[in-house]
Amino acid sequence: MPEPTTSTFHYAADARSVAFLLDEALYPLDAIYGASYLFVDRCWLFLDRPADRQVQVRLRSKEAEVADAELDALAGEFANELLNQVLRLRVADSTRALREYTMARAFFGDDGRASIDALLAELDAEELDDDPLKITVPWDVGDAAEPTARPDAAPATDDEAADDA
Amino acid sequence: MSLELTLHRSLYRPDAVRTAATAFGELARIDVRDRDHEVVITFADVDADVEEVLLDAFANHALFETVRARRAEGPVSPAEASSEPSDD
Repeated sequence: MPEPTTSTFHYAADARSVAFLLDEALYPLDAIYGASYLFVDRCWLFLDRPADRQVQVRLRSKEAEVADAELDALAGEFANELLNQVLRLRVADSTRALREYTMARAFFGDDGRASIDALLAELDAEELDDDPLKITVPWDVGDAAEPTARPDAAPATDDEAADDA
Repeated sequence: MSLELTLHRSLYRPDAVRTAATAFGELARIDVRDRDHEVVITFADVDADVEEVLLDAFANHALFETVRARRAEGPVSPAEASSEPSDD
C-alpha cells in the first residue's frame, strides 16, 4: 500500500513579510493575479519568477511593526483566496461554452425573433382606437394637428373632405 | 540618492509599468528600461517623504495596472494559461 503523501503550505517570514513559492501548474497566473488584486490595499505585494512556471509571492505589511500571528493570518488568507480564485477560473472555464450558447440564442436565435414578432403582432392587434380613459398620445396629437399646421393651405372642398372621411 | 526596482516581464506588463511610472512622476525622476526578461526602473531625486515606501507602492501600482490590463483583454482559461509560452 503506498504511503499517503502530505503537502503543507510553506512560507518564509521575516519581521514584516511572508513569502512563498507557487507552482503555476496548481495555481494559474490569473488566479495569482486575482488574489493579488484583492490584497493590493492590505499589504505590499511583490511577484518574482525564480524558475520557469514558478511564481514567488511576497506579502509585506504596510505597518512598521506587525505581530507574527498577523503575518500568519495574512499568508493563510492569501492562500485561501488563491484557492477561491482557482475555483472561479475552473467554473468559468467549464461553463464557458454553455454561457456562450445561451447568449447566442438570446441575441440571435429563432426563438428570440419569434417572441419579438409575437409582441409586434400583439401590438398591431390592439384596439388603439378605443380610448376609454381619453388619453391621447403625442403621435396622435401630431396627426390631428397637421391640417392646422398649414394656415396658408387652400381650404378643402366639400368633395375632398368627403374623401378624407 | 537613487533606487532601483527590477520586475519580471512575464509577471508585470511593461506598458503597465510605464503607466505606473507616469503616475509616480511627481515623486521622483523615473527611468524605465526593458531587458530580456525584466523591466528595470530607476528612481532618482526621490521625494524624501516617500522614500521608504516608494518601491513597494510602485510595485503594487504596476501589479494593479497589469491585472487591469490583462482583464481588459478578456478571460484566460486555465487550459489556455497553461499553454502560454514562458519568457524563460
